[in-house]
Amino acid sequence: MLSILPRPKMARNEALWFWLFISPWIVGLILFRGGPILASLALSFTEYNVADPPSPVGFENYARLLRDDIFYKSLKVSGLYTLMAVPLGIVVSLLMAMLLNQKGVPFLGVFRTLYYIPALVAGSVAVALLFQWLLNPSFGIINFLISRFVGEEGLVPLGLSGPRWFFDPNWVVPSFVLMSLWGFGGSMLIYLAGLQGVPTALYEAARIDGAGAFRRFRNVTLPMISPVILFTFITGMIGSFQIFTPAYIVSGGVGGPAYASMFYVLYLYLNAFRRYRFGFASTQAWFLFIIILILTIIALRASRSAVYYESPGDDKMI
Amino acid sequence: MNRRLLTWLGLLAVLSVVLAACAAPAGDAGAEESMQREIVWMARTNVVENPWEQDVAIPAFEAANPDIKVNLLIVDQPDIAVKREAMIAAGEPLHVWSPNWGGNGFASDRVRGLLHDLSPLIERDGLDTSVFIPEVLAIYENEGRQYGFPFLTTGSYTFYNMDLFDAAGVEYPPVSWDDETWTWDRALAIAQELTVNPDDPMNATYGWVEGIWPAEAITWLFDAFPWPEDAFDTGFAQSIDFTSEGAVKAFQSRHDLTYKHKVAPDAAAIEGLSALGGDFQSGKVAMKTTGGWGWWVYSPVTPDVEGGFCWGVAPLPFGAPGAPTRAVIFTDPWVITAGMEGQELEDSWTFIKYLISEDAARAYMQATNTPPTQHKLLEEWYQQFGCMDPADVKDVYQGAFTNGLESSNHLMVGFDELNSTWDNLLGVFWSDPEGDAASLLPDVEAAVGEALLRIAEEEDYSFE
Amino acid sequence: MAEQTAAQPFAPVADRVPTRSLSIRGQERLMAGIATAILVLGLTVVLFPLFWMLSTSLKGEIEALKIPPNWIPKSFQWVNYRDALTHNPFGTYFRNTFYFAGMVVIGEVLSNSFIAYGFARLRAPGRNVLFIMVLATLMVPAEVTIIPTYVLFANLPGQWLNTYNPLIIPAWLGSAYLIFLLRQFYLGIPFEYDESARLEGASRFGIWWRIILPLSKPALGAVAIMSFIFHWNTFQGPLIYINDNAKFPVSLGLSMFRTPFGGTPQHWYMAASLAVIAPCIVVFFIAQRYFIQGIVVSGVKG
Repeated sequence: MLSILPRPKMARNEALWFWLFISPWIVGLILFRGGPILASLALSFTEYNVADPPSPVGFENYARLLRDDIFYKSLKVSGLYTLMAVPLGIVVSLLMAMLLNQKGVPFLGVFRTLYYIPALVAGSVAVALLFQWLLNPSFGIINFLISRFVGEEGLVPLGLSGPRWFFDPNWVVPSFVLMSLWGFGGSMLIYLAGLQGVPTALYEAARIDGAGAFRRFRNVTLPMISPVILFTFITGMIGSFQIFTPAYIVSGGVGGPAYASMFYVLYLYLNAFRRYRFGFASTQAWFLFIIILILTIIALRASRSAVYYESPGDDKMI
Repeated sequence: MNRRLLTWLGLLAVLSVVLAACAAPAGDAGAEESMQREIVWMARTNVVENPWEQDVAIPAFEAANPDIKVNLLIVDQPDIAVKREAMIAAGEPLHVWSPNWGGNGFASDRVRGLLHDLSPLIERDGLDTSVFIPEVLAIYENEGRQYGFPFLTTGSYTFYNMDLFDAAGVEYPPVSWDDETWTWDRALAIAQELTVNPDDPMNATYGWVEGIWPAEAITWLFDAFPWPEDAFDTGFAQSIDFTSEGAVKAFQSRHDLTYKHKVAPDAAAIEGLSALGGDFQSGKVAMKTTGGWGWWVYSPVTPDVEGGFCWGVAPLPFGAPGAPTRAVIFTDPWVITAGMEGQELEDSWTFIKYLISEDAARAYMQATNTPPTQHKLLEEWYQQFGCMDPADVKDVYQGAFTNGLESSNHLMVGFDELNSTWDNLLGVFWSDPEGDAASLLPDVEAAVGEALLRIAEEEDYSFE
Repeated sequence: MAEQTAAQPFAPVADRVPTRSLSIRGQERLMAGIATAILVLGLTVVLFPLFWMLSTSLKGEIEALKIPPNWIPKSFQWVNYRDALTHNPFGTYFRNTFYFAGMVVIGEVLSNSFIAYGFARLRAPGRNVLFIMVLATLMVPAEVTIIPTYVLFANLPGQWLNTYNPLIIPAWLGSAYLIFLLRQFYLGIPFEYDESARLEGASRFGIWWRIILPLSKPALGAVAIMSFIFHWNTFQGPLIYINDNAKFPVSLGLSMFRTPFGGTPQHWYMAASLAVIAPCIVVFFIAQRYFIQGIVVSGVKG
């Protein structure tokens, strides 16, 4: 195998190519994305109700944020949701991807398609409404099944033996997690693609060594798809902290009961588009930005030893 | 350096140019554009209103005003604020719209200075405003300035399923708002008689679904109006009174409907009924007290359609004898964005005048079944309810305006925060069989009070 | 596609379990049998909502509101589909969405695979910082950049508002999410490929085009599917930028059914929703065929 000892000229050449390859992104950042992001940062130091021009207020919004009880509640709701939804989502979608990658299953393409259907509509208004109904304590099919098959005495009256889901502050976040799990298809698709990249030779070698199914999964599959697991973990975290539409629909924009569905970005949205506090909402956004950024960097660092990259050993890849 | 690298850089540059060319205007209607002046009208998505706007209102207006073109923007109500605020921030033309759809309601837009004062134009043109129901027109007048013209209004009522009443041999509620026998307790007695299987929602018939909105307005029935006297004029208040004897009784009585008397579904069951299509429309609810959108939302329900039935409308009951203000009124106006002048303002004004003209208002009423805001048209509107006598419709419909006030969601500045505050704190109470209004309401009062002061401070409003 | 084995997939698993140690072939059959059984059972959970939508879409207007609901409509109102799709011009909406989503997919597959190659396989000072910056653009909630972005496009030279350009052109310049995804895939491809190609005189561009792209077909398939479906359904962007009803995509078309105070005609809404997801199902079914194992032949560093 060739050892790479980049000479200075070669390294410079490689760096030039790097800039060429990423240049579309740089152009996009400069032309379209960077400006609005910086503008929102600037707005976080102002009071802005859209009708009047923004007026600078220094760090007042940040100070106000730290005094705001509902801000803390919303941070807790979104944090708890992320903590539950991300790992569960990874487990469920990886499991489904493995099933849908199993050799010998007939009509695999049809199965894959059917299992992907929920992801087509996940996160939409229709699904939020659907789950509101499915999880309804009085009329929902879930509690109907629970009362049929779990609670013996729960047959009649219906609905008394299941949790009260969106109506019980303790069950609100788990209800949203359940809803998010139903949209597993997105990550499943990524794992499915990732599994195709695992060289079959590795499985053969493991088999010859007498590795069972679980050890093959542990020693071959998992390391080989660890880059995509890291991807779903980080993007899942970023996305979960920013979840908005389901909460907006299910709670009717109220965030109840008892602020149990006041997700961070729902509160941000209400401040921006219902209460016309765009400066304050931008402050909320940037506070969240810092939290997510720190968590992401921690995740990238911590995963260095756990994620298997093919990159040359002297490359400090994060 | 690498020649190939340069080649690719060049290709990339070409690609950017091609893309930029794609971005150039496709040039639709370039030539004719200059001939016509344009105004932008923002409306909400609505399966009955949209065909009226597109196929009736705009063609008729453009035929009468060939030099003005109306661009219609249709946005669904939950997202209307996002688009509207973006357009305002960018200074994009937005001429005629309704402030109560999305966002924070009329009062907040008024204090933001977003609404044009129409009074000088009314005076200049000698516009006859006596065609409107006076209470309804006055809602959008503030300190002598008329900010908008109402095009749709309704009170709050008791909608009842006549078939269920008939089957049980129960007498219908009265139509007069002054009938003092129509009390909360009488409604409760009827509800008890008509309730079947309340513990089995799928097979239940509920006597009474209580859906008065906003939540604070339940106190109105019990003669415990919670706002300071001038709050609905100024849009601001220092406090709200949720701890008066009447207020506590109001919230507790509503709670008792579900858990003590078992005539009403709980919050979850109400939501489930609505999620399945509609609580009242399902025919499983004998009475529903709520805002008057039932007048048009229930209009497809008639005995002639399968699963349909006859329904009637009654006043809201008296929780306390002689409670002067019981009905929450909901009125939507058309407004013009502030800051316009010259031709642009004239064109918007021309369009507003068209929208409130008798013909346009009649066409809207006929297309949507919504109650009109003008006396003359009301007489026609009363005729359309097959199961009710038009004279009765008139009595009960109009009574709401002499026994009601416009809703706080249109008249209180910062309503969204107030609503979110009390809804969050009451949310647990409505689902808790053991809930006790007297011990909960002081907290709600305090939290809403804090929000009220915060809102006033933010708008630099000082109380006398 | 999957190899068909002689065993009937639906036969009870016990019938096919040899008493002693399993051959590799036998093990595989057993696994396939179990997987099939789970997959068949799981369909009820996954497809129940779809069944509900279908059932509602075939009911009459008042029947759709009935409690308890009819699982099977009394008579199938197929006319709902015609009515729902002609109440507003869905033909136009479908055309608009095909144009918009199609343009974005082409751009996103090309640009992101290109950009990700740089981040995954080329070394340069500051690369990691730049990569964090890519991710950082995902971390600012869109809710606070909507207005600044709209203001930007309102002020850029040329006609941007009321066109799809604010959604298409930036997509051609990379998406942080997809850059990250493809980077992760590229990092799993052995670097020996690049090195041997370089020895044969291939340029970096040539390596990307002739080696990396073919090797990452499953990943590109996933990107194409995700990109298409995301933009087929996307709501917020068109909501802000598209004004004319005749330019609406299907997502805004669906929202046209939403009527305040419970006036939404559920039977139409469900019929149109099903019609809208149908093309996505077809696209997925076609694209998932690219998911074939064994494209990368060696993954062992040595």
